[in-house]
Amino acid sequence: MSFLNPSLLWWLPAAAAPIVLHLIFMRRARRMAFGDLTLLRAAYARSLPATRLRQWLLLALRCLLLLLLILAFARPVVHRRASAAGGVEKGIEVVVLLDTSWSMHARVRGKPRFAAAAAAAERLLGLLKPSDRTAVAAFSDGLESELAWADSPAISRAALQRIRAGYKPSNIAPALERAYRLFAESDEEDNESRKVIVVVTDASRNVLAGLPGKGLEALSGYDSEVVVLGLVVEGAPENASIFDVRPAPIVENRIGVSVRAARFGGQPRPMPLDLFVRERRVDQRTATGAEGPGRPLLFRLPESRALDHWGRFSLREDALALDDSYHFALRMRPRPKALLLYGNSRYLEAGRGGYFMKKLLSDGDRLPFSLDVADLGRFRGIDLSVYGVVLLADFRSLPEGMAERLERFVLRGGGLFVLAGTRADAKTYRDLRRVLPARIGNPIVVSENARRLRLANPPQDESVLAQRFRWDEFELQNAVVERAYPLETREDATIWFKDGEGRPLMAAGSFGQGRVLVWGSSLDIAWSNLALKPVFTAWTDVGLRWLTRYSGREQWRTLHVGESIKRVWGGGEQAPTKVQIRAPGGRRSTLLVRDRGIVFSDTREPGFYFLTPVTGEGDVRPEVFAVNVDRTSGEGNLAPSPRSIFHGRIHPETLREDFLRSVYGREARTAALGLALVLLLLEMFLARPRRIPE
Amino acid sequence: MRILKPDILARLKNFNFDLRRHRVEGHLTGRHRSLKRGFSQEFAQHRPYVAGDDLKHLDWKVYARKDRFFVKEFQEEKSLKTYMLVDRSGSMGYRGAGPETKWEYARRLAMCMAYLILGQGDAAGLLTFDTERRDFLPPRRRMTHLELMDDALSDGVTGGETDLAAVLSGMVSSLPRRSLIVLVSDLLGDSARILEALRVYAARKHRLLVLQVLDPSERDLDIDGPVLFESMENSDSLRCEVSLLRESYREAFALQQRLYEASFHSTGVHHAVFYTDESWHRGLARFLARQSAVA
Repeated sequence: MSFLNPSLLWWLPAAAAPIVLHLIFMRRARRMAFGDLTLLRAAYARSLPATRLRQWLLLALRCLLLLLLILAFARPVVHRRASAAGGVEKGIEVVVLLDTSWSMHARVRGKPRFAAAAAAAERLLGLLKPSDRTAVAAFSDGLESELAWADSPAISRAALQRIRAGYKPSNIAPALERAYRLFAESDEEDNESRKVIVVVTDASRNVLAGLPGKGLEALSGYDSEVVVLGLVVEGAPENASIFDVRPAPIVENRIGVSVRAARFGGQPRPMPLDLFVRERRVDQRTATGAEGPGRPLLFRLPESRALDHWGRFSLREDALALDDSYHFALRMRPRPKALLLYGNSRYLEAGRGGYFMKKLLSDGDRLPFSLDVADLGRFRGIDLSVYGVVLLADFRSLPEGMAERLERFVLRGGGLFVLAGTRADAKTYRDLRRVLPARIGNPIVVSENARRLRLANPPQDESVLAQRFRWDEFELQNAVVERAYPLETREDATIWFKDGEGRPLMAAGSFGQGRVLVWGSSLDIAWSNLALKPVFTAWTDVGLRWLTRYSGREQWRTLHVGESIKRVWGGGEQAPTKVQIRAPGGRRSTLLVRDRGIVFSDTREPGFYFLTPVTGEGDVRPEVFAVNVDRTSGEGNLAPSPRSIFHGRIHPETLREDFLRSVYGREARTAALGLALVLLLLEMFLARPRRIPE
Repeated sequence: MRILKPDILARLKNFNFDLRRHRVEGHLTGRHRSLKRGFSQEFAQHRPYVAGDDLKHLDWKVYARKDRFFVKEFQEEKSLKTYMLVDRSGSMGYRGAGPETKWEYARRLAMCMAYLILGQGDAAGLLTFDTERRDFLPPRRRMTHLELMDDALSDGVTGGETDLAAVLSGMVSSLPRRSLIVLVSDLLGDSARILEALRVYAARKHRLLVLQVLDPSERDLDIDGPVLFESMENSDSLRCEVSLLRESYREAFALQQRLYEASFHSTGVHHAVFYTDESWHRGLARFLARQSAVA
C-alpha cells in the first residue's frame, strides 16, 4: 500500500486523541457534592464488567474512526499486483511521449504549454525509482526522436531536457504504435513488469483526430496490458489564426492574394488583419471573426518591378502567436516563349493556320505567351534554349539535323506541338517518330457523319485550366474537321480529341523530360473550321500550358513546415552551380545545383528562407520562400478534444497522486470512508442513551 | 411564618387530611376513636357490675331480663397525637436539577402536614434529627404551635452525617404508642436497616406516613463527564465517569425504591415520593387523595 498524500500521515498520532482526552478529563474531573454515595458506590461496582467494556469499546471505536479518516484523506492506494502485495516491488516500464506539435507553443498564464508539459514530464520521471525502465520521445505528426529504453530515469530526464517544441501538426497514432512495438520487443525478454505509456500533451482536438474511431484498440500492436495515461496540460482554448493564404488573379498588374482568418472558441468579434510587404505595413482589413475559417478577404499587393514579392499577414497576437502571422512569397515568372516554325511560305496568309495562330499569340494580352515566328530555313540560327515550346507546322520534310535538335530539345524538357499542314503524308514525320506519341498516316477525307470534333480525355487539372472553363461551354460540336491524318497512338499516349467515329484527332505524350502534342489535321480553314471557333483560344491555351507546364505568371513559393523547397531553373534562365539558403534564426546551408535544380528539405521552422545563387558575379538578389505551420490540419483549434482515449488522466497539479493511483493500483479512500461510516454508526449505537429503568 | 407563607396557606385551605379511622391512645377528648372504653355517645359493650361502678351506668333493662347487674360501656373519643419526624442530615441539603434543596422542600411539606393535622383538632409535634435527635416540640392542639415549629425548621441543614436507621430506632421508645408518625426524609442510606427500624414503629402500633423527598438528579443521574462526587454527610468521595455508571446507578436506585415500596406495602406504611422538581401542592394533593382512597 502506498499513499497519494503521505504528508497527512503525520496526523496519525491524532487518532489517539480520544484516549488523551479521556485521560485529561479524568484528571480534571469537576467536583460535585452529592447527597449520599451509597448507591453510587454500588453502581460503580456493578458497572465494571459490562458498561466499562462498552466504554472501552467506544474509546477504541473512536480511535479507529479517527485513524480511518486520516488514512482516507492520505488517500491510500492498494497495490493490485500480487508481487507488489507480497512486498516484492518490481520496477515498471514507462514510455513518456512528449507532444511537440505547434499548438504546444500556446501560452497559458504567460508560460508556453510546452514548458509546462516538459516540467510535468520531468516531475513524473522524478517519481520513478532507479529500478524502473523508461523511454522518452517527442512526437508531432510522427515520432520526432528515437524511442529506446534508457538505462535509468535520470538519463531519460536528461533526454527530456533536450527536446524542444516543433512546428508540425500533431497526430498521436504513429507514436503510440511505436511505443506498443517497444513493449512488444521487451515482452520477448520475458518481462512481467507493469507497462505504462504517458502521453504528455495538450489533448487538443487535432492530437486525437488521427486516431481511428475505435481508439487505441485499432492501433497496430495494441496491447491491453499497457496502460495509456494522458498527462494533459490545458488552458487558453480560445485562439484566432490566419487559416490560409492563396494567390488570386492579377488585376491591373497588381498581384492578388486571398486570405482567410479563423477563430476557434471565444465570442465572435472583428479581427483586424494587417498586410506587411517585406517589413512595411501596406494594408489593413477586418475579418468577421466568426467561429471557424471565415470568408476570404482579397488583398492587392502594391505594384513593383521586382520579381520576388514577399511579406506576411498578421492578426493581433493572442495565446498562440505562431499562427497569428502567415508568411507568403511568390515570384513573377516571364511569359513562356513559343517558336512557330513553318515549312510553307504561305502558311501565314489569311485562312491558313499560321495566320490564326500568329493573330492569337502575338498581341500578348489574350494568352500569356510570346510568339516568335520563323521559316524552317532559318532554323539553324535559332537558339532553342530560350523557348519553352516549338510549334512545328505545315512542312513536307525537315531540314537535315533538325529532327535530332528537336529531339534533344524535348528530351531536356521542351515542348513540341506538331500542327500538320495540308501537304504532309506518312513519310513527313518519320524522322520524329521516336518523339511523337502517335504515328501519322496519309491524309484522308473524314466522312460526313464523323466530322464533328468530340472530347476524349483532355487535361482537367487546374494548373492547365487556369481560366476554369468547361469544354462543353464552347459548343464543341460546331467545330468540324473535314480532312485529317489518321493517328496511330502509342500505348502511353493520351487522346485529347477524336472525330465522330472515335478516331483520334489530337494525341499527347512525353519524351524524356519534355512533352509532345500532335494535332492530326490542319488549322487551315480548307481542312477544319477549328481556328474560327471560340474554342480555338482555349484549345491553344491548354495545349501551350500543358507543353510548357506554365501555371500562371506568379510562382507561389509558400510552403508548410516540413515541405521541401524546390527550385528548378527552366529554359531561358541561367542556372547557378550552387546556392546558399539562409533559414530563420540565421541557419545557413549550401546546396549544389543538379539537373538545373535543388531540393531543400530542412524547413523545420516557419519564416522566410532566402535562397541566394552563388554565381561569382557579385551582387545577386536572393529569392524568397515562405514557410508556415500547417493550419489546415486543425492544429490551431486549441479546444480540448471531446474524445478521451486514455485509461487515466494525470493533472499536472496532482501529478504524483494521479500517477501513483493509475499505475500502482486502486485508491482505497472510498473503502476507508465507508468503513469509517460503519464505525461511526456502531459508535452511535453503542453510545446511544439507555432507557431509564422503571 | 417564614415557611407557611400566605400563598401556601391559601392553597392549604383546599386540602383535607382525614384520619378518623385511626385508633389512638390519649387523655384528651378529640375526633378519633380511642381503644379505651369510656362514656360517650357511642355504645361499646356490656360488662358485669363490680363494686365501685357508677350506678347511673347500670342497664336496668338487662337486669329486668336476667336479674343480674350489667354496666353499659361506651367508646371513648380521643385526640390524635402526631409527630413530624423531619430529617435534617447533610444529604437533605442537596440541590441538583430541582429548583430548591430537599430540605427546603421537606420542611414545607412537614409544615403543611402539621397545619392540616392541627386544623382538624389533632395535636402535632415536631422532631428533627440528623446524627441524633435535635429539635423536639411535643404535640399540641393549638394552631399557635405552628409558629414554634416554623422557628425550629427555619434553620438550614446541620450538614452532619446521619445514620437514619439508628436514629429512628433510638426515638421509637420515646414516642407514645399508637401515634401518627410522619417521617419526612430522603431515606438515603442502608435501606435494609432503615426498613428494619421502621418495622419497630409498626410493631408499636404507630401509624407511619413516610414522605420521601428526593432530587430528580438522584433518580436520573443526568450529569455528564468525569465527576468527583463528594458526600454531603461525610468526607467520602468517588471519582468516576458518570456515563460509565449511569445505567447501573439508575438500576440500583430503581431497585431501592421498589424495595421500599414493597416493604412499606407489606407493613401498612403509607409511602409517598416527592421530587423537588414537582410543585409541592401537586405532590401533596396526590398524596392526600391517595390517603382518602385508602381510608
